[in-house]
Amino acid sequence: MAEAILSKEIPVPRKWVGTPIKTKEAPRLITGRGRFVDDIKIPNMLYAAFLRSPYAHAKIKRIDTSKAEKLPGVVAVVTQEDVLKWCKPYPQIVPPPADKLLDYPIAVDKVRFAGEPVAAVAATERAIAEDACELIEVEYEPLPPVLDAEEALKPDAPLVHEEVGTNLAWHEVFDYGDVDKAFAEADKVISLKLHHHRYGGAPTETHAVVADYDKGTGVLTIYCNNQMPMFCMALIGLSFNFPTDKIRIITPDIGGGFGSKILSYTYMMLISILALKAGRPVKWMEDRREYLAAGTHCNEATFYVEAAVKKDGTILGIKAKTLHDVGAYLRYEPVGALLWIQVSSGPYRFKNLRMDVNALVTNKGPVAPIRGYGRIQHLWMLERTVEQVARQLSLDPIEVKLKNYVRPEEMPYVAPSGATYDSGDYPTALKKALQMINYEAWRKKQKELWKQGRYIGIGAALFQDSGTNNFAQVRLIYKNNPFSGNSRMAEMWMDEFGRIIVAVGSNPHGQNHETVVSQVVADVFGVTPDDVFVVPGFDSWVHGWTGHAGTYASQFAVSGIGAVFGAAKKLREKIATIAAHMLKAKPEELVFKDGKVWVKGTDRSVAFWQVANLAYRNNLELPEGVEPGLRVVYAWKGPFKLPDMKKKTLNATLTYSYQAHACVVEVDPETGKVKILDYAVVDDCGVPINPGIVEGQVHGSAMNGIAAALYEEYVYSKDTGQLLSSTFMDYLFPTTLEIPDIKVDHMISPSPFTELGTKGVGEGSLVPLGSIAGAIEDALSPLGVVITDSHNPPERIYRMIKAAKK
Amino acid sequence: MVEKRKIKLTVNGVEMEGEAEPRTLLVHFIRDTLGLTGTHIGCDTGHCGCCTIIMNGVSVKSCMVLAYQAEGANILTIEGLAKEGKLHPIQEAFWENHGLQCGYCTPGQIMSTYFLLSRKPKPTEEEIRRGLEGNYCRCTGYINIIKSVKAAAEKMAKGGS
Amino acid sequence: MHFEGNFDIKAPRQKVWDFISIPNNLAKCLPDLQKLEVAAPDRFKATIKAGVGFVKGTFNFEFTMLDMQPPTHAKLSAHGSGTGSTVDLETAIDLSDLSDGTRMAWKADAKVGGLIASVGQRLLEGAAQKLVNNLFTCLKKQLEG
Repeated sequence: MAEAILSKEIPVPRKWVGTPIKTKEAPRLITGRGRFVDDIKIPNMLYAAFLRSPYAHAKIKRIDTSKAEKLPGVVAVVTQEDVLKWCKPYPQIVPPPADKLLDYPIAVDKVRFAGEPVAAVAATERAIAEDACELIEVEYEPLPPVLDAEEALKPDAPLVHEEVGTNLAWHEVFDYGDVDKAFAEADKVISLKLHHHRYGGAPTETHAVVADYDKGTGVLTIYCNNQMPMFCMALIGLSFNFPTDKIRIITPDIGGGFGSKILSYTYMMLISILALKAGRPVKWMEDRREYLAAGTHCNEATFYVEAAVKKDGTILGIKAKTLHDVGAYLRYEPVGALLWIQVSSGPYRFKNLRMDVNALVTNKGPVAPIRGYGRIQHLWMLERTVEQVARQLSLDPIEVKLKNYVRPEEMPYVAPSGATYDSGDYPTALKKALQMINYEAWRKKQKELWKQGRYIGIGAALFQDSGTNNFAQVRLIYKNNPFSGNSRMAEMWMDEFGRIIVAVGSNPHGQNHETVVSQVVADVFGVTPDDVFVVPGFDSWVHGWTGHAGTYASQFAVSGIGAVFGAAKKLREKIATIAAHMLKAKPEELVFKDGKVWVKGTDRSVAFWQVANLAYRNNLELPEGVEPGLRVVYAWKGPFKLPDMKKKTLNATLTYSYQAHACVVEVDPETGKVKILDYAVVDDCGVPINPGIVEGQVHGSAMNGIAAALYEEYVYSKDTGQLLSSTFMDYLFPTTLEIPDIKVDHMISPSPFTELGTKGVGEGSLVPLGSIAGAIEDALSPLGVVITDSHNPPERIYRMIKAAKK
Repeated sequence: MVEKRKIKLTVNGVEMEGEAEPRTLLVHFIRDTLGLTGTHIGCDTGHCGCCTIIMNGVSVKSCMVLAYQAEGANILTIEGLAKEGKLHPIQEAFWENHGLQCGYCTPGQIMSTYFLLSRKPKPTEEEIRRGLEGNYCRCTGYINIIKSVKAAAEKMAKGGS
Repeated sequence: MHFEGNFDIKAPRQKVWDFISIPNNLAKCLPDLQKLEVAAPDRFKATIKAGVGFVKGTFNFEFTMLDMQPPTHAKLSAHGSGTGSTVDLETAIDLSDLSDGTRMAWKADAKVGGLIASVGQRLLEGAAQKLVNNLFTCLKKQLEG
C-alpha cells in the first residue's frame, strides 16, 4: 500500500525514499566540526551570566548593582529597570482574568520561582560575569510559597500573581457523548487518584544565545538554539520594543531539544537587551544547574479519575478532574492542559468522556512542551485506569486493553473530542510486542517465580503519537486566540550549473532533516541525495518560514516534507516546461533520470545545466511566458478545520503514529529496585522516509520514557520550594548501564490524509511510562500494590511493598 | 588583577600554547583559548562526558581538569582523529550505524570509545556499556552507540588504526 | 529545618542573660567571624565564613534581637546571604533556673535558599546541626569560664 501511494506521487524508478541511508549531518558532527551556538565567536564579544532568585517566592525590595558595575571587565548590567524600558509583558492565551498575568523575561517586582533570572551581567569573560553577579545586592522580602496544585486552589493560598487574583489560570469542562448515562448503566465504577510527576527534556546541550547588534544597519542578529524561533516571534514581536523587520534569527546545529528549547525566547530577548546596552555582541551559554531549575519542566498533573465499566471489562465512559501544576508563569500553557483532545479516548473506543481541566500556577519552574506534550500525561492516566479496571474486575489487563482498542476496520476513527485517527492496527501491534518478549512463556513461569519470592511482571501499553497539529486547538482555550491551521515553507532552487539547493523552515536538532529532505528531492529529480544540498541550520533571511515554522510536535515528515515535496514538484514542472521546449516534446513525455531530462523511450536528453543556462543567462531562448531563474517557494497548508466551539470538538492532529511497548521487569522486594529483563517496541509511523532515522527516534523516545518512569524527577523541598534535584548528582539522567537493549519491529499503516502516506513521528509519547508501571504492578500483584504515580524510584516501591506486607 | 600564566602543551600532534588563570578549566582552555570547539560542555558536575578527551593516553573529562594541570601534556581531541581527510574507523562506524542524532555528545562518545578500544580491542557488550558509562546521550538511547562501538572494534581488528 | 535542644550552663540566670543580650558576646561564637558591626543595641551585622560540603563561602548576616523578656526569653532573627545562597533564621531562647545553674532551652527554624539549599541539600541538616552545636558549646564555655 505504501508503494501504491508513493508511486502515485513520485514516479519510478525511485531509489531513496524508504531507504536507511547514512545521514548528511554526521560527517561534520563526528569530526567535531558541528557549529553549535557556544562555538560562535564574534569580534569584541562579551559573555553573560545571570543572577537568579534563591527564593521560590519573594518581593524584590531593592537591587544594587553598583559594586558589580565597578568590577574590571564588566561592561553592562541589566535588571528589571532595563527590561521595563525594552519590553511589554508577554501576551497570554487564556481568557480573563489570567490574561492579566504579567510575564517578563526577567523577574519584575517579585520573584516567583527559585532560579528565576533577577539580573544579567555582560563582561569580557564568563568568570568575571559570574564574579560580578555575586556582587549584586538584592534585598528580598520572602513570601510563603505555594508548591502544590491542590494547595494553590485553596481560597487562602498565597497568590503567585496578585494581578490575576487567583492561582487558577484556566478552567474548562469538556463533555463528550453521554457520560451520565454511561455511569448509570455501569456494572461497576472504578475510582483512582493519579499523579504525573515533573521531569524534563534535559538535552546534552543547554540553552544558548548570541546577540549581535550592528549599529551600522540597525540589524539585530540573534543566534540561538530555539526549536521554533519563528513561532516565538509572535511573543517577541508583541513584547520587544525593537523593530521586527530588523531582527534576524539564526539557529546553527542544535544539541537536542525535546520540547525544552521552545521557551528560550525570554533569553533571546534578555541577551539582546544586554547586547544593546553593552554596545557589543554578547554570548550566553546556560549551565546545567540553571537549565534544571529554569530551563523548563513537563506538566505536572494530578488526576481524579472515574471509569464506568461493564463486568466483562467493556469501558462505557470515563470522567476525570485534572489539576495541572504549570509553575510560575503560563508561557505556552495552558496548551499542555488541553492537548489530550488530540487523543481524548486514547487507543480505546469508549465514546463518553468528561474532562474537568484546571491549570494552576505555583512557585515552581515554568513548564514547557516537553516531548509528548500534554498527551503523555493523559495516555498514562488512561492506561493506569484501564489496568485498574481489569484488576478490580479480576480480568487480565492485556485482554481488557485488546477488548477496548479501536478496531483496525473502524479507521479512520473519530474519537469523542473529534480527534480523527487516520490509520493503524492497535491489537496487532500490541500482540506483536508481547510475542517479542515471549509473553506466554513468562506468564507460565510467573506463578512459580512468585512462590520462589521473585517478583517478575509483564507490562504492555500502546500510546499514540498524535502529530501534525492544528493550531486552532488554542481557540478551545480562548475563542479570541488568533491562531489556526499549520504550515511550512520551503524554498528550492537549481543553480546555473544544475545543482539543487533546498532551504526548509525548520530547526532540526537531531532529526536529520537534511538527510530526509535530500531523499525526497533526489527521487523527484532522479538524482542521488548527494546531488541535493540542504542548507544546514536555519536563517530567517534565507529559509522560508511562516508563523508555524520550527521542529516540534511530530510532524516534519508531513508538514516539512509536504513543503519540500510541493516545492520540488513546482521546480520540476518549470524545468520540464523548459526542457520540453528544448527537446521539442510534451512535458508528459519527459523522465528525470541521472541528472538529465529524457524523452521517455528515446536517447534524447538535455542536462540540468543546459536547462539552467537558459533560465539564468540565456533567457531569449526560453519558451514564451516562462520567467527567468529556477527558484520556487512553496508553502504547505494543513487540511484543517476550525473547531466546533459549542461542542468543543476539533480534529487537532492530522496523523497518528503509535508504538506498542512490552516489557518484563523484576522488582527486588528488599530494595524496591526495578530491573528491566526484556523490552520490545513495535513502531508504526506510516511510510518511513528513512527507516534508520525513525528507529533511532524510537530508541531515544523509549530511553526518555524509561528515564521518566524510573530515574528522573524534579523534586522541590516542601517548605521552601528549592529545587533539590539541581544537578546530575540528583537528577538521574540514565547511562548505558540503566538503558537495556530494546528490540524494535515495525508496521506500516500509511496515512490516508497525507500526500506520501507519511505520519509525523519523533515524540514517541514515552510509552515506557505505561508499560513499566503496568509491569511493576503486575510483578507486585500478589501484594495488591497499585501504581498511582508516574515515577517509581526504589524508595517509592519499597514503601509500597512494606505497606502492603503489613 | 588575576594571575594569568602561559601553558604549553601538545594537542593533536601540534605544540600549542595559551594563557590561563589558575581556575580555568581545561575544557574552556581547549574551546575558547585554543579554538578547538569540537569538545563540548553539557553539565557542571563531571557527569555527562561531552568534554571527554585523551590526555597522556588516558580518557579524561576535561571539565574536571584545570588547564594548569595540562602543562606539558599530550592531548588528543576529536579534531585529531581523522588523518588527512580520512575518517578514523570509529568515526566511520558511528556514521554507518547511526550512532548519533544531534551530535552534541558524539565527540565525547567517540573519544571514550577510542580509549576503551585501546585497552580492550575486543570488548563484550557489558564492557562497552561500562566503558561508556560516563557518556550521556539523550537522543539515541545508547543502542546504536553500542552497535557503533562493536562495529568499530571489528573494523580496527581487520586493520584500521 | 527545625532544631531544638537544651543546654545546661553552670552559671546563674542573670549572668547568662546579661551575656547573651550583648551582640559582641554572641558574635564571639559565630563560625570564622570576619567582621562585626554593631548598628544598635538590638541589631548587628556579621560577616562569617561557612559552608556545606564543598560549597563554602563568605556570608553577610544581619541579626535582630526581638521580644526581649529579661531574664527569661529572647528571640533572635537573622537574614544572611552569600555564595548564591540565602539563610533566614528564627531562634527563640528560654532560660530557667537549675539547682546549680541555668537551663537554656532553644528552638531554631532555618530556611535556606539558593546554591547551598539545592546542591548541598543532602549535607545541610548535618552541617547545620554541627554549626548549632558549636555555637552553644562555645557560649557555654564562655559563660562557665
